[in-house]
Order: sequence, then structure tokens, then C-alpha cells
Amino acid sequence: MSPWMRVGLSLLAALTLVSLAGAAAPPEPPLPVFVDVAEAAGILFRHTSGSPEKNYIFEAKGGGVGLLDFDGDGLLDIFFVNGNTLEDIGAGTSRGNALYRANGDGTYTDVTVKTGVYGRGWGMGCAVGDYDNDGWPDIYVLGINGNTLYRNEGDGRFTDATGRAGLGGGRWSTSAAFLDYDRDGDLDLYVANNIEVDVYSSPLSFRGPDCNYRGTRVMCGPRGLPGARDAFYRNNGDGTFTDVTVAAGLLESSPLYGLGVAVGDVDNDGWPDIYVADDSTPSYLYINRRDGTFENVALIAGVAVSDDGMEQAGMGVDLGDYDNDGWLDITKSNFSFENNNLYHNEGNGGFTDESLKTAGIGLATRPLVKWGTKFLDYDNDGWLDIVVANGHVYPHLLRAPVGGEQYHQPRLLFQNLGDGRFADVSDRSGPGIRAERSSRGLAIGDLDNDGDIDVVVANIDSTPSILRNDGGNVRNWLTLALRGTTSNRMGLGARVTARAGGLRQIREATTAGSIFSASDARVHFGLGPAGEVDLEILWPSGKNQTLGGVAVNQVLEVDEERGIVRK
Amino acid sequence: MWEPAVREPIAEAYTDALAHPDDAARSGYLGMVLYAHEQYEFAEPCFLRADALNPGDGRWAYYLGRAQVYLGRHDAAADSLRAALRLRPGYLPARLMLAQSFLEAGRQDESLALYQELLETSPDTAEVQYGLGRIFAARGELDAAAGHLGRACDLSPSFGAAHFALARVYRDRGEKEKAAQQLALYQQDKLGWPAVPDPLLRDIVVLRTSTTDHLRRGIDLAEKGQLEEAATEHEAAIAVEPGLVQARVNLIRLYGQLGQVEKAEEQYRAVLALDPNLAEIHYNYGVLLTGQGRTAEAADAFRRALELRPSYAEAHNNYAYLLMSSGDLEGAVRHYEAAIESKPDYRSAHFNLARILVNQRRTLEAIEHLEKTLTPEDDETPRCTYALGAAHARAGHRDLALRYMREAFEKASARGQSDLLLSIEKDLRALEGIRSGP
Repeated sequence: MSPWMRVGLSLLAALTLVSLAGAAAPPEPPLPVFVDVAEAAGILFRHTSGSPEKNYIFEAKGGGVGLLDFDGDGLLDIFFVNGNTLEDIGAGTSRGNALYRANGDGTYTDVTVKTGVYGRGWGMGCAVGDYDNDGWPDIYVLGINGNTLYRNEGDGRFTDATGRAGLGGGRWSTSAAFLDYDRDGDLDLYVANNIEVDVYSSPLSFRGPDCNYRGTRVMCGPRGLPGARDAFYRNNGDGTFTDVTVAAGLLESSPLYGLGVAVGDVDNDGWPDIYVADDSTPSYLYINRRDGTFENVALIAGVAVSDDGMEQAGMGVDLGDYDNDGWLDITKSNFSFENNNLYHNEGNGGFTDESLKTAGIGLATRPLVKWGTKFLDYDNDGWLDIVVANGHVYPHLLRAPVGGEQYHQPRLLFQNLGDGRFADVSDRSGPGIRAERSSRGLAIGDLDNDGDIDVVVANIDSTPSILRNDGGNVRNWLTLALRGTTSNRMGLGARVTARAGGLRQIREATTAGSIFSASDARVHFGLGPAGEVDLEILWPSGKNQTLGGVAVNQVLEVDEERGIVRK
Repeated sequence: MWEPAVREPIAEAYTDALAHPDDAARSGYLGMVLYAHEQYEFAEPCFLRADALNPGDGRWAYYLGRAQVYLGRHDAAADSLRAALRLRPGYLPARLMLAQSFLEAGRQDESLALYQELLETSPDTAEVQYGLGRIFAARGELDAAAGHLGRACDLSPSFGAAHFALARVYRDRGEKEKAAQQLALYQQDKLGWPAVPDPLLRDIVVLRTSTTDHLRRGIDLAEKGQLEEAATEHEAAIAVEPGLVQARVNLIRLYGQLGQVEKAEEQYRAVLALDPNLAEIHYNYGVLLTGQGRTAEAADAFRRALELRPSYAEAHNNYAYLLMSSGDLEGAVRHYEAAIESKPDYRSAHFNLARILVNQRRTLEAIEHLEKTLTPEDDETPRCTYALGAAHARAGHRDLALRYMREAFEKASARGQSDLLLSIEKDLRALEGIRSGP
């Protein structure tokens, strides 16, 4: 029996009871729940990241996941990035990434070897984008000792296009975002880098005050270690990229410890901006100046540090308009004893951190080490909720937990109540959310195309979690797969406005956000009880497309020129 | 799992508390030791027990409230801090902590009421003004917020958080220039926070005796220029843990600054035995040797540091300086450029590179570098501004030269830099004597 049927029956039973009791208002549907179906789905991948003791900081990070429909069958496939060990990398051995093709029945087939994405070195995260506009999404794998661009050939195989593209990197890269910053129709690339490290020759054995956590000797860093400068590449349109970090004004004056990257038009000027979380140091908000350059305004905008000016250990990030006021807000996850931020976009260049104010998400996040995070409308009520993956970095907590601090930690789910407040529903949202793992990367997408958003979480040194959303589709929804023609082929950066049921929602097509991970590029709207929706799509090319009276509960393919081309 | 310097005092206090289960002071002391070592979750029940055994001693309730604030348990913290204040009604740190706890818990009205009470009794406490400013800012009452935050900054000019909050209030009022000024002040001392005397907390702070605590204190003291005290703290750290590499690396530099060369050399040898592949060791040793005039050996040390970490900006800068001094200007330019590549706002690298470029008659390039030395605003700024003026003079930009020289003169006057003033005055007079073009 499908999850929809299960929930449908229970809802019907609830409605009947209420009707008999003579109540006037229909009840709220039960909260959707998340169930980890990784094992049943046949996902056998197991992540490896260095030694169990985590002697070096890079061993405690990584574990990325990417959601993409690599074979064009309309189903999301799943890519996992693997790490390595010092011993194996020294011997030139790889632990191997994994690509799982969706079979369409809830199970997956491992096609890693056949598709050629096994990889090398020590991977951390990934980004997804169709850099060559051939209609097939490509994968960029970030690593400690070099990055790899896998070009999707469209025939079920990927080829290593790193050298030709000039995207080898070489610094410890963590997350990346594809975006069309100059709106010339092809995807450019921002790469967040973390620490200067050479895994082959210089283990970071520096022993100082930053190698201690609450009285216990632990791995050192990031403080006290040299940061690695982020990089920005312009797509030349011929399969190659040019490093334009300096020309675009993105050269960090002092390299910080880059982790999560999100992109979106935060100032509503039609040009994509970039937000980057840095570990233990201020975050960046790069505003696109529409002339090929960016300006970091994070400090004055109020999104660089905490409300009281303290630097935070920024990890995962995402952009989304949680209060449906037409401006993208920012959420950022941080280390333990720092609450997550929820920066409300005031629409005047400034942001206000609402996490400890109206939104009320701050205190629940404080005890945990937070990583991957995304805005998502998991209950299809038209208001963006927030999911967070958590897990500590110090494995000694497995043997001797300090107070409430555990190595394995539960996920967090905050339900948007539609009035600026969020409810912590983590304990009521199923075993997939309550499960305690040491999680890192997180990506979202509708894996089974049933209209509700599922979540995939990468767990360090372990198997991943495939969190199927059961019951999110009780309310109506619409999913759009965008196909650019003048704009980039995936339509990344397109802003879609949906008007339905008295709400005006905005979403932007992106695979970026979270940490180490790439989410479904399709645009999803929860529509509550609305039976149809009016859409407006502002493509990166500048074209404004309107689609009126669109029926709900379907996945549509929308072409930039021709409108709806496939249901 | 805890390091010995943490484990042993905790074990001792624990054994003592266990042997005297009805002794409030012993349970409370165990809580204090745990709190000192950041074990707030474990400290909380100790303070609870101590307070239950002796509710008349306000210390335990205060410590309990602090631990609960740290753990984010604000409702419980409010109860504890209120209990503490019943016994010590005027204890300012407890009142401030309660007001802050209310604010973090989203209980803005209660926080405001408490800060307003505090305003009556402690109007000159910067933290009170800051708290009020934050609340008014959150309520959109920007003028009131600016007033309180401005007062907080006046009371404590190095209060980073207050400058940051004030910058955002100016931003919201559309006063960009004032906002930028406040942000600059914030960046000068981001962590600056006015110290309210807290004798109860001091009793806990003195219990921090781990190697990390010694090292942190040593680094703080070194930053404040208290070199001998800094060295003593570092020595205490390695007395407990001889393998603490960073303490020894820092001591190389500290002993060098104190003129204790033999001791510095001793640390260098010790640390080489521990980990020869650490770039910082060779860099600090290079600095020591430079100070001794042993430039050839210093150059070797900087080269070794750069082999280990090619992006080491400070090592490039110092190596470049040695090359410049020995007349290898091309080599010096290369290394200054590498330093700037790694650290684009590296002031001394820009300055020294500009000096070479001026001598090579590449004045326009020099000007570009000197323009990057004008911030931050500190004792170095007059000299950098003067150099920029001089470079413009060399380039024939008389008006710009005059502008920067005059600016440098004003800045040097404000800082009482009399030697610099004499030089600027001389050059200014010469420049003013030159007529502008036809």
C-alpha cells in the first residue's frame, strides 16, 4: 500500500468522526512523518572518512549527497560522495563514490561503475548543474586534494571533463554552487574552500588551545589553521571555465573556512547573489552588482555574525521566503552552543535574526552540531519549513558523552505556522527525524514524485538515510521542471511566483544550499486546499512567462519558449 | 577522556563531595570546578544540591543560573537568578544575566522592565545601555535605540557588540556613513566587552588551571604586550604538558621579544624534536634570528617555513624584507607579491613593496599599493598617508600629493607623532613652494 493510501484512509476516518460529532471546522491533517527507507530501497553505500578517532579536522567533515535525474526518466537518482583514509589515499586507493539509479518502484540500482563516477582521492561534497547546456545534468565533486567535473554524456555515462574545463581546484573544497551570475545563458561556479592542507605530507598536528574541546584533547582547528581562499569560475561557453575570483571582486582578504553556499536573488534586482557560511568566522553575502562583480555586504546587512557581533561556526545555509513577503530570507546552521540563524530579509538591504525572537527556532538548535539544512514545504501548506541534519565531530563523545552532548544526534524539523513562528515538530515527525546519527550533508527533492518533499541525509562513516515523506501530499502541490532555451538549460536562477489560495509564494530554481550537497533543481510549491494556481516565471534571460489556471497535483515541464511541454 | 589537568581537580572535588554528601560547600565546590572546565551539564546538579542543602547561600543559585543560561534553559535560569537576587538584591552581574536571559528566551517585555530598573541604579553601566538599545532596535524604535547604544559606546569605547548594534541602527535610519564608521569601530575590537566586576565568577575563573587555560591566558597577555606574564603562563602550560607544541612555538617568539635568546633557542630545539614539519616553528625562529641580526640563518628559516607552507604570507613578507635589505629587489618584489596574493590586505607587504616600486620608478604601481595601506585607522595610518602623498609627489600629482600630505599632517598631529610631523612639514613646505602647472 502506498503512503498516500495509508494517510488517505486515516484522514478519511478522522473526517468521519468529526462529522459525526457535529464539529463545524475540518480538522488539520495529521503531521506528515519521515521514514528511513534506505535499506528497503537497496542503498548499500557506506561512507568512509578517515580514522575512527578523527585525528585531523578533514576526517570529521564531508559526506555529500546530490539529487539529479541523470538519465532523463523523470525520476531523481542519488549520488553519494565518499571520503577516504590517510592510508588508502597514500596508497592511491579510492573508497569510491556511488550513483544509484531510481527504478521507479522505490528501489535503486547501483550504477556507479557503469556510469564512471567512482572517483578518486578524498571527496567531500558535490554540486549539480548542466554546465554545457546539453540537457543532461553534470556533477562536480569537491574534495580535499582536487575536484572532479563529471560530464553527463546523455547515454548513461559520465566522462571526466575536469582538465578541459579547468576546474581541478587543488584546495580543500567543501561545497559549490552553479549559478549564471552574468546571465549570459551558461552556468558559472562558486567553490567554497576550507583549510590549506596537504593530506599527503602535512597532517595538521599543531597542538594548541584550539585542539581542546571542553577539557578533552581533540583534533585541531579550524581556528589556528590557515584558511583556503574560495574560488569563482566564469563559464566560457565552450566547455571551459576561467578563474575570475579577483575580477569578480570575490577574493577574500583573509581566507576564511568556507563551508555551505547558497545562491538566490536576495535584493530582488533580477541578478543572483551568493551567501557563504564560514566555519568560526564571519559569513559572506555577495551582492551581484550587475557588472560582473560582487560586493560583500554581510556585515552591514546583519548576516555575517550573531546578533551581538560574535563570529559563529557557520555550516549549512539556505535561502527561501519563509514569510511569503516576496523577499528571500536566510537560514544558517552553526556549531553546538550557537543557535541557528534565521535572518529575515527586511527588503531594505538589512536582515534581522528572528531565531531567538518571533520564529523561536534558536533554543532547540543550540545543543546540537548542525550541518545540512534546507527550507522546504514538507506539509504542502504554502509556508516554508526548515529541516536540519545534526551530528557531533568529536567521536570521544561516543564513549563519554558530555552532559547532553552525544556524537549521534537527532534531526530537527521546524514547522512554519504561517505567522512568523515555527513549531519544533521533530519529536512528532516520525522515526526518520528522531533517529540519532552523526549526519552531515542533506539534500531535498521529491524522490517518488508523489507531491511531497523527501529528504536524503549523508551520515559520516555510515550508511545514508533516505527519509521518505509520508503524508505531506495530503494537501495540494505543483512541481515544475524548468527547461531554459535562452537561459541556462536547467533554468537555474529562474524565479517562479505562484498565486493560489490567497498566498503569493516565490521559489527559485537552484541545486545549491545546505552543505556538501545538491538538491532537486525542480521547483515545488505546496498549495494547501487550492485547486489551481497562477504562475509567473522570471527566467534568467529576463523573459517573463505567465501560466494561468494551472491544475494542481502534477509535475510539469515548462519550456522557456513554449510554456508547458510535458505533464 | 579529560586531560589530566582537568580530570584531577574534578576527581578530587568529586571524591570530597561524595564523602560529605550533606555539605553544601563541597557539592557547590564540585560544581564550581566542573563549571570552570566547561562541564555545565554536570555542574548544574551540583549547584542544585548545594542550593538545596544551603538555600541561604546565594552563590549556588547564581552559579546555577549561569550554568542554565549557558545550556539555553532560560526559564529555569530565571528562577535560579531570581532566587540568587533575593539573597543578594543588588548583585549587578546577576541582574544583568537575568535581563540577558529574558532577551535570549524571547521574553522581551520582562527584559525591558529589568533593564529599565537597572537604568535607574546603574545608568553608567555600558551593558545596561546596550541591552536597552538592542530591545528598542528590535521594536523599531530607532532613535531610542541609537541613544542607548551611543551611550554604551561612549561608556565603553571598545565595546564591539555595541558598535555593531549601533551600525545596524544607523543602517536602518539610512545613515550609511555613520553605519560604516561604527562597523569600522566594531572590527577594531570585535570581542571587546566591558567587564562588570563579578567577584563570585572570579572564584570560578581561578580554578581554570588546565594547559589550555594557561595557554589561552598566555596568548591574551602577549596580545596586550605583557610579555613576561605571557611567558610565565606559557611556561606553566609546558610544565604540565611538555609536548604542547604551540606553547613552545610561542615561547620562541616571546623569549626573542624579551631578549632571552638562549631560552628561545632551547625552545626551538625542543619543538623541532616534537614536530619538525611545522611552518610556524621555522617562521618564529626566523623572526628571532632577524632580531639578532643573523640574517643568513633567518633567511634559511623563512625559506624552510615556505617550503612547508607555500602560502605563508608572514614568512613571504619577512623573507622579502631580508632580500630587500641584501639588495635582491627582484626577489623581494616576488615575495611581497606572494604575501599579498595570500593576504590581500597585508599592510606592511603593500607598504614595503611600494617602497621598492618607487625606487624602481614604478610610481603608479606603488601608489596602488599605498592606497591599500590607509586602513585601519591607527598609529601607522599617518605614515602610510604620508608615503602615499610622497609617491604622488614623485608622480607629479601635485594636488593629490598636497592633499595626502596635509591629511597625514593632521593625523600625525592628532597622534602626537612629532618626528613624523617634522618630515611631513618639510616636504609640505617644499611642495607648496612649487607652483601648479601653467
